[in-house]
Amino acid sequence: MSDIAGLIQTVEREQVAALERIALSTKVAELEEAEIAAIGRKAPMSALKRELGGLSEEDRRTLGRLLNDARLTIEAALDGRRGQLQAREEEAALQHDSADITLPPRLRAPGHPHPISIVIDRIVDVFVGMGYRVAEGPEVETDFYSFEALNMPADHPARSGFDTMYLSEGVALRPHTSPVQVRAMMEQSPPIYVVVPGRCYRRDSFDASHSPVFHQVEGLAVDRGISFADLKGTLAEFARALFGPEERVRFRPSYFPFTEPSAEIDVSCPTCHGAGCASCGWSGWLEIMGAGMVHPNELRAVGYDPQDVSGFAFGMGVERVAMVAYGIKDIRQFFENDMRFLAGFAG
Amino acid sequence: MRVSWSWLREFVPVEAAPEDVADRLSMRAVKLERVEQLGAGISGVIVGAVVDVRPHPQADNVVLVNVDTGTDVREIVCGAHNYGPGDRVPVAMPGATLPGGMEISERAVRGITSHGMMCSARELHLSEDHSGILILPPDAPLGADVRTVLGLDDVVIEFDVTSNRPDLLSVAGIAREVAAMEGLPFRIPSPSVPEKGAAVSERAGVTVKDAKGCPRYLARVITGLRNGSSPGWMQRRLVAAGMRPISAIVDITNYVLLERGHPLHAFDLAKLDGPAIVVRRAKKGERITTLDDVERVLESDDVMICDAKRAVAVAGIMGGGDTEVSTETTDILLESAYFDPQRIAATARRLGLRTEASVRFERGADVEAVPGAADRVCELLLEICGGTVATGVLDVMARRPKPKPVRLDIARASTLIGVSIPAADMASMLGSIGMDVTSSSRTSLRVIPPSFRPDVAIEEDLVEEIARLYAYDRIPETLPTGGRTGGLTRDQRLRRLVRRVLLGTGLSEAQTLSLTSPSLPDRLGLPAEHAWRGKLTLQTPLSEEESVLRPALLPGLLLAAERNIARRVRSVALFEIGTVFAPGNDILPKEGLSVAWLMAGEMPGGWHGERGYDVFDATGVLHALTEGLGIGDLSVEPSQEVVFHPNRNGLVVLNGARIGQVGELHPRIARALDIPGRVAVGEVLLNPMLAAARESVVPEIPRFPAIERDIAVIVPDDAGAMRVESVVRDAAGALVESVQLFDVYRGAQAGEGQVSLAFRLTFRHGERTLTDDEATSAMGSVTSAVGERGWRVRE
Repeated sequence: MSDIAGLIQTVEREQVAALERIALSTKVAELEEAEIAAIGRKAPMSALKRELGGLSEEDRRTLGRLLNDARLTIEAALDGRRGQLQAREEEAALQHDSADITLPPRLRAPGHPHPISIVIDRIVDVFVGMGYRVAEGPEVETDFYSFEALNMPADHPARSGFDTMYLSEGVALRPHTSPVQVRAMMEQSPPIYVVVPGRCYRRDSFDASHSPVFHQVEGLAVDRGISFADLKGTLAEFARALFGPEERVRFRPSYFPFTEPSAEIDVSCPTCHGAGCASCGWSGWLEIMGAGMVHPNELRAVGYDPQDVSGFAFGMGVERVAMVAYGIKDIRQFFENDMRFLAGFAG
Repeated sequence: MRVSWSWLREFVPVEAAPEDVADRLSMRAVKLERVEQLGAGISGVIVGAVVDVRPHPQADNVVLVNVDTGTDVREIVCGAHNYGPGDRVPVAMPGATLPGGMEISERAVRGITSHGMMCSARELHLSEDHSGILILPPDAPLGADVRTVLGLDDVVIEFDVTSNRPDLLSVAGIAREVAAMEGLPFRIPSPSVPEKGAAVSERAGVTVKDAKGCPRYLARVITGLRNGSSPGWMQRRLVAAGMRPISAIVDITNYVLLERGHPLHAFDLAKLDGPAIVVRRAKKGERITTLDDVERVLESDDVMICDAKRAVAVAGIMGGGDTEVSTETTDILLESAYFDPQRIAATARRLGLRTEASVRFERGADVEAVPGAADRVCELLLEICGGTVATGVLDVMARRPKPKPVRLDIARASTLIGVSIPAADMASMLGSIGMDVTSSSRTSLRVIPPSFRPDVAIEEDLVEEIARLYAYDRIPETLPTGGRTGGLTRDQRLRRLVRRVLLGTGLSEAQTLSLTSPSLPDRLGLPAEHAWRGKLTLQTPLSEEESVLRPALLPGLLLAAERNIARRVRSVALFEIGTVFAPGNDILPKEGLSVAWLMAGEMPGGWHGERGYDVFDATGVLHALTEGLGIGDLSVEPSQEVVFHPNRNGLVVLNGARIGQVGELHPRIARALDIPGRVAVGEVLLNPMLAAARESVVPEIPRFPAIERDIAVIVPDDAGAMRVESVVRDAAGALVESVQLFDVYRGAQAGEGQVSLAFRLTFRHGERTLTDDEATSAMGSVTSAVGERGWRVRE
């Protein structure tokens, strides 16, 4: 049996050795070995602890406290060193786990909307905001809806097969969206405020400004007391909303069988705001649509009384508006669906 | 309509700048096309006289012409043949410039140097006429600048006249509008015609057998004429208006047509049998050779002008060659008539013959202008060609059309325009454009439109006249006051959602033509009966290429992909939402809304591992649609369809109805279009999808824990994952919350022709915590159900 002083010395020596070994460890694995050597079951300090029972009450207390303090000191050193080594090792591991952030991403990108759809939605939204409903109808129509109800009698030039693509006698691809006006008016009584987007067809050969398939948006308002001034105000509001707050419209006399009075509408060029530039042919204005007061014959054709209600109608070519808005020079681009062309559009 | 400024000013004393007047007129009456300073861009073009014309030794289509320019005689190679020795022509000398910037230099044509160029009217920007060299008046001095000779110190204004305003197809008509707009007097002198000698009825007769087609026919006879060239001033105006001078008599009729808008025709009296004029319907199949040397075949609705024996003109459109006026002509019968607009329009359209005369007659000539126009021609003939006008006229008119008064309600006009305009102002505006305001009260005007305004027939027509003369610009901008609610319908909203969802999957939006080629299915090698063979063919297509209404959207997307790939675009990802057509039971075809998608080429960002598209990209888009719309009960069933890869496609079934197809394009079809790799495609009818879309609901978040169990089932390759999943789900009973496929394994452990599908089942009870026993029991049912199908559970 060794004396107590010897035992104390042993504990102190073990503690110093353990702390040294902990401090010198360079890997978490080495640290774990140091832990086993210092406070494991087979460590000298653990053996000493088992020998406490053979000591005097006083010695047992002294040595017990010493052993406990030594253990706490060693454990604190282990924790501290472990934290250091773990951080260092993780750092080293991350160094090997690298990615080139500039490589192309895993694709989550949306596609691009078609300019015609963008423009249709924008036009429609302006009018929906002004309290219009959206009306739609078939693309193949009878002559009644395409022409007769629109004050275009049988001998009207546009009704010949030369301009209209007929499917059978009296049935043709609609040359304008106006049949939907007629359907809308026949389905309900005034007041009626509708905007009609849709595909139309004319026997025009493809060139830079013509396409046999194209899109229109037209609008119709029939109510008591609707005036030409209301038409002007509505379209001025529309032009500002679509082309920008600085733009203005101007009305020129024109002729359409289904309106009286009739007008062609120019919008100030969105590029130069009316000053004149290359994109508007130095005139400052771009023609965008036709409009007018609904012809009394059309009102009568759908069973309305022209003495009781009046209305205005307007119609614009979507491709034309898109060409003005985006500066597109050739209408054929809309139907080629070249991915590189579509990539230009957003919204 | 091209109007020269100097001519216009004969009828209205307007002093303002031509450009300003033209701009203002565009806002009040008729659309301005352009204002041209004549002769702009021309330099170095002088008058030459043709000396002789010889063939080119090396070329049949050009000739060698010696031209005397006053200072030399030079050889010019020319492609036109409409001139002869003595004719004066414009010669662009080497160094000359023509409008549009073309510069002329000496150059060899088939081995022979051309020392300049003879010009057509189009080359000098005088008109669109390029059918021959412009022949100048015989008194044009040799070597003179053509700008002077052609009166190119004038301004020409071109207007785009709408089809309802025949009156504006004349210088006087435009002048009348200018006068009304500027508050100036409009003056058109009445022609005075001294008549001499025999009565016209002794020289010729007129019989009208088709009074419907020809309500008025007036003839005059003029004898002893000298038909040379017309004077330079007249030629200049004709050329500026876009017409080619021919001979004095013809030029004078054309001049009056331009001046007053009324077409006239001169027959060589000596060549008329009778001499008599008979106006009748054509006999079906009757033939006439018109002035342009084309034989025309007629129909019974055509109005014919005949002499005692044969047809001599297609009424209101073009004269016949037999009775044409020539340089030898001394006596003429002058026709001034009014023909039925619709009859002339129909004939002109059928013959494909659009002339200055037909355009005016089909829009509606002025029946009251008939005598005045004839008199104006006589006046000019006497002045230019000499001769004698026979006494009297042969004027056959069935019934003079009675002018119909139109009542204008003053208050209603102001209401319709949206601004209050005093009655007196309305009356004076209407008066300024020739309307006869016969009486007025405080509430209304009685207006008789002039005979040259066939477009004015109802009150609204007068409202338009007032609105435009008041000026559209001055009308205020207001908004309709009626209360209303706008918005989109459910379907319209959902369609926008579908677009956003598809854009979100990385597809870009296409718009393809709804008209397709009937030969496309052949190109794709499709069988004779196939859904992509459209059954609706246009009667009047523009071309074979665009003659069939599309029965589906995918063919159009395939063509778009083909075009992109051909243009070296490496990745194509497109969708389209559009109308498809099928024969219907009604007179109208059946129209449906369809959505199609296509992915081909390289996948963007493909370096991550997946470099191309396949069937699962196609089904992925479908999945996006069902998730986006909240559609639960949609399934894809294996199927056979020739345009698809036979083992990589499926039918899309919604509530038991087949609504589309999804998968990979058949490699043979991809090859036919030169599209490399797998092409992922799909198309479904949209309306059933929209109908099945569910409204948003707040789901209940489960409060009790779930139990998860995995099971791997070994099934034959063709069993179909969706079917296996539904067997598993059905067997798992009411407690199963979800069944998720998480692994697909093919290999030794599954066995040849077999596949192992691993599912994770989540069990949960809504009201309490589930026990392990309950999950185990449910899994037992799954195991036996799998066994009953002859499948194995993988241990």
